[in-house]
Amino acid sequence: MLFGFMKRKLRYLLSSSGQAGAGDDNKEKRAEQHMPPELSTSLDENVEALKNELSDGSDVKVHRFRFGPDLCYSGALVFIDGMTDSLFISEAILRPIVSWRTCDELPKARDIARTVSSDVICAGEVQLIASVSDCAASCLSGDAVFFADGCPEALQINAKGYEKRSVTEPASESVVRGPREGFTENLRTNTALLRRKIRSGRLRCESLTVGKRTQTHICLMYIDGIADKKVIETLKFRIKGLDVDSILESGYIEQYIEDAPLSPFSTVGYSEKPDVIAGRVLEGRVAVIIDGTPFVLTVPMLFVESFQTAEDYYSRPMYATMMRIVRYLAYIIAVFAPAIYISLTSFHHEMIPTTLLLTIAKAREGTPFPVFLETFIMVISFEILREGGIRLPRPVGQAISIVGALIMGDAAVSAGIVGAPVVITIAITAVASFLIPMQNESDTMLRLAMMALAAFAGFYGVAMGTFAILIHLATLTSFGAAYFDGFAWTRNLQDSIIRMPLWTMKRRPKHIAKGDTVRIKSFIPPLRPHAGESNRQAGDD
Amino acid sequence: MRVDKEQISGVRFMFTIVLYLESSALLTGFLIPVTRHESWLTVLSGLIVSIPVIALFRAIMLMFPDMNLIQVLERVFGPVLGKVLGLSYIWWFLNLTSLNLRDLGDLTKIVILKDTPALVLMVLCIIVTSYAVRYGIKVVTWYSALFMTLGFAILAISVLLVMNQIRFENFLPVFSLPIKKYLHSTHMISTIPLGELMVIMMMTPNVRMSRKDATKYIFGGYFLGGATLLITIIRDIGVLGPTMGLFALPSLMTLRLVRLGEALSRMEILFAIALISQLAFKVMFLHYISVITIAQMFNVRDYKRISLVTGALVIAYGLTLYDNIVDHAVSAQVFAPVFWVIFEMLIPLIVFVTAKLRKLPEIRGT
Repeated sequence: MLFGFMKRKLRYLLSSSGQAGAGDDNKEKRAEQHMPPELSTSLDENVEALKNELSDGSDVKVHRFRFGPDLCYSGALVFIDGMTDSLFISEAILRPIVSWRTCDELPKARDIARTVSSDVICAGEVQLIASVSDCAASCLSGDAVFFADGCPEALQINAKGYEKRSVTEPASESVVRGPREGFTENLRTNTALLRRKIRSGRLRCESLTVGKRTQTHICLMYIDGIADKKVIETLKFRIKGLDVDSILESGYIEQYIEDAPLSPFSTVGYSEKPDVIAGRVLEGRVAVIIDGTPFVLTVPMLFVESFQTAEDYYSRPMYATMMRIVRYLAYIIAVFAPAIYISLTSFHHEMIPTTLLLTIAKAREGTPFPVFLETFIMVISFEILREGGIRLPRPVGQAISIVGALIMGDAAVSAGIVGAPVVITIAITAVASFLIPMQNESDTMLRLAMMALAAFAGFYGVAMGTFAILIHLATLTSFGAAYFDGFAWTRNLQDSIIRMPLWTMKRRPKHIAKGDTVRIKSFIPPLRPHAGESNRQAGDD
Repeated sequence: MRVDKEQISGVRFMFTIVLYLESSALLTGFLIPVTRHESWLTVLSGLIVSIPVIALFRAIMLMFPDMNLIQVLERVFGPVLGKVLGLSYIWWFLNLTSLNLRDLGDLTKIVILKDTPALVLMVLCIIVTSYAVRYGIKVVTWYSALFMTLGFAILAISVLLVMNQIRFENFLPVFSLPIKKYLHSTHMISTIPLGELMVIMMMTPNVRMSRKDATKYIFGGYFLGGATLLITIIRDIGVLGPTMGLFALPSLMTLRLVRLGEALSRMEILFAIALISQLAFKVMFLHYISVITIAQMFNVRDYKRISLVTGALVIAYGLTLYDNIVDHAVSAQVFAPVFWVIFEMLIPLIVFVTAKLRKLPEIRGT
């Protein structure tokens, strides 16, 4: 398609200009930092330099004190108020240092920081640093920095203790059965939640820092030996290549790393639940945890993932399969229902049963607009109502839905502005679109495109549009994995439209897991608990 | 130079062949006037007669496993004659694409959109197929399994639905026509739907399969597809009987006659689904073949660029081909079978014999 070409050209131009810009920035940065300022031996100078680096903020606290045998040393502790745990600072850092009175042999002034870190304080994570910028970085991430007079090194002491939300049930993915914990905004809590699910030493956790101004911490978590090395490399390459100002949410990262940025379909998965992410990591995916958001990304993502929920694996396979089929149907309804209504009423009257046709004709009698316009108005008003319901404060949101949906809808029909069948169609579409939150963005956009095609060429237009969507889906990839895999041919079908019993899923999905792909080595058939060896083999087959 | 470097698996190649024949089974209208209710006999004989032809395609594919037809022609006949033959094949593939596109436009007009000009429908289709062709063979054949299964399902459902209307008398009398008619009809079957399979020689380098698999997949696809054709014809004859010659689209009429209680009647929507999915696939596939043929011939490095242009050419050519669907059917009965033999059987045969005589290829591929 012509648009494809234009799209690619645009992308190329954008990326090349972006790279050129990034290059310039790098040069400037290098010019600025031609010599990293080292710490001096003077306490005052160091503290001043650090305060200067932190723009002398009012929340920067400097505590000076004298310590050591006969109080012969002077030192200072610098930290940012609110990001540190004050109890920890007083109990684990200040108290031991100030009460340090005896030692066999007085250390030289140069080595004082080392001695303090090894002999005096009782903190878990201490590091020696030697430059002002490192000091500033550690202060900004919530550590306390200890300086001593005459010592050109400083101590970075982990004293992080900022306010954070506790682990609660995620609002976006609630379950009837299954764990209720959700990720929080804190990176370490999230990595710990994941580690508690997968207690394996092979679960690797790699840290990166992105964002020139925000310095956001990012963790890649995957299982060594299952995750595809190429995916990890690509992911690291794409994230490390980012030289952007800020990363505030996982959506930022998603847009920078995805394969098809202009497609209506998202090719990066996300979830708020540790059990879901753990399941995906165990299938060989890589989780990207970003500090400051409870939404964890996973790559590669397949289209079928949007239709899988955590509960599918906790409930009975038959029921889970049925629910999955319902979800697929809902997606089809969400995309096609208005388009089919338009085609039926404006082109293909003969396909509607006669009684229904008469009912529709009666309802449409006297409505002023053509079908397409009528449907379009209703779809847009639904989107307005939905957006209003989400953004407004909860009490007002309810008022919106009552006034908007009940009163306006009813009044519009009884006043004869829109026909009742349109309202029914849009209502079904709206309800169906809520079933698949992961594909909500794509179905809203595709619905409008399909409606336009239906108004233009009826079922033929819809069919050609569907064809184009299918082709588009076939061209999509997510980090090397074919996005629409699982429909083209029979591989991975065990966990796509249907959900087979767990004991039949012996291997991890093809094209995602590399290396150790066997999930189940052996099992005792659940069908006959008292049977002997021969049945075990039968079950394995 | 390989135009499209992507490769598909042998199984998908087989599905593509099946789907190609399945889509031909939709349009059996042109066959019927010649042998009428005995057409199923000629379909059967056509299927048998075409086996050596398919074997010939297979032999050429195996002889030059990493060359497509255009490259084979140049290799066997030298640059000048090879180019001339290559050009004629470009015309032939474009012709084939146009014919199918025209069919799609005309039939859609008949089945679901009576007042829309066929041009609009054709343009819409070509825009979509050009989009697919840009992404190469993988995307073009991606849905072959899905659509094939859909086609089989529709065929099975339709056979079950009309089971109560099939009259055995409709197949009688047998062997009542002059022998010439049977020959004519067999010839049509073996050239128009079956001989068209020579397009698979254009995708030799893009299929990943061993020699042994080649036989399995090519003939597997051929017989599965052929069976579809046969079942469709038998179903239509069984339901419609002697009136069959009256309709341009016997399958549509058959499905229209479905009457099983109140709920299951007028199932032509099934035909519409099959028509659009299979014929659009066929047009897409042939469009792809035309594009890579042109790209190969003129050494176009980036074949993606010519996909829309080729599509425009196909539409323009398709519009000027015939005045109406009857004209088309007559041409398919009289003109095409004779003329297409050149491209489908004669040239491949000469290629095969010449290659054997010249002891080509010197280094045999595995």
